[in-house]
Amino acid sequence: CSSWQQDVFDSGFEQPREPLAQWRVQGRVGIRAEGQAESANIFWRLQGDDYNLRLSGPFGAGTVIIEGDAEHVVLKQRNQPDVSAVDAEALLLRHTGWQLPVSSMVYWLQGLASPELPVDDSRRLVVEADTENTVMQDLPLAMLQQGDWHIEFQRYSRIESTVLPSKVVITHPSLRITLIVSQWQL
Amino acid sequence: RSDDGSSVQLSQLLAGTHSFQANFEQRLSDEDNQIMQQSSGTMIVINSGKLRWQTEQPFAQLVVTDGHKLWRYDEDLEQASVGSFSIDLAQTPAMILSGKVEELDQQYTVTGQIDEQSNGQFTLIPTSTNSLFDSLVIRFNQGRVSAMILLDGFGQTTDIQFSEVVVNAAVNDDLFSFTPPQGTDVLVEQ
Repeated sequence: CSSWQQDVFDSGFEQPREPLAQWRVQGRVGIRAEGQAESANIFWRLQGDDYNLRLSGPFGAGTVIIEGDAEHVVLKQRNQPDVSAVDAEALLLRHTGWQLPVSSMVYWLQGLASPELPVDDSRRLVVEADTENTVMQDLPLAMLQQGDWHIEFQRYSRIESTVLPSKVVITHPSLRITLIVSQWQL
Repeated sequence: RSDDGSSVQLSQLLAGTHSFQANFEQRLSDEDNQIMQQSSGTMIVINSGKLRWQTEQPFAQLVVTDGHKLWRYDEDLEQASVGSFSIDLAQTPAMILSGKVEELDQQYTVTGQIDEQSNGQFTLIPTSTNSLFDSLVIRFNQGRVSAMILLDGFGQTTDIQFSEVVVNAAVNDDLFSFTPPQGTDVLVEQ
């Protein structure tokens, strides 16, 4: 996944904070598309440019593992040879039918805009009065519109000193992805 | 080769069961034994191939089958699907607990045994190549199933511990059908 490039965002849009250099997430992901409703447990570990993303079904069955770094991505599935490519999205779609914008989700999952897409619209959480010294840019995002992707940050939880999303709903004209985080580890 | 004694002993232990219900604690860990997912809830299975697996923590998630249809409902994902109950799901480990043991020795190579206090465990290796897991261990405590541990091709371990086990209780049949709440977006799989 590409690193953060400032010029992609519209003028005036500022990320609430820097992207996290490393994290580990346990949660659940659902995809709802035309004729498809899939849900899976998700385990996602990122360290710099290296990441390990696992989707698994009930009893840990049907696990799909995606291991990626800056250059390439490998997809592993039970009883199948490993397959690698440059782009995680295409690999996942071709081999599992799952359409997940993985490289953008790395940012949306953290409550940040994706540097891969322009920010066409955004809204921040309205915070109660007692934090009047909060600078507007520091408020967590409530909504983002990036190209065809509409992202709603529906729930947040506080992990150490950071506020991170615990429910993100990503909609696209052809599908809806719901991401729930049950545990953040930084 | 299956150690016939084990297969027979396991079948006898399970055959007396026509319903099995328990609370479960499930833990999925990776090849370095790092915990990737922990969940808990309640489950019930009866030997006419009906199963209800209700995960409560950390998410409310339900898997229900009456042996013909299979419902999956994820409350927080606001997503539900209903489809036909496919055969490979029939081999899910929970089905074995329902006492459906007729083809046990064709489906699995079984080793292991229990002692006089009926404590011990059996290891089942699926005979078919496209099974969902590499091996399944069923642990017994005083003749009752206390745990199931599954290993898959990635060195991942799914460890399911059972508690409050009740065997052969009368079971209300409508536990095995599901009507999604009003307004739930349900996908009907062909």
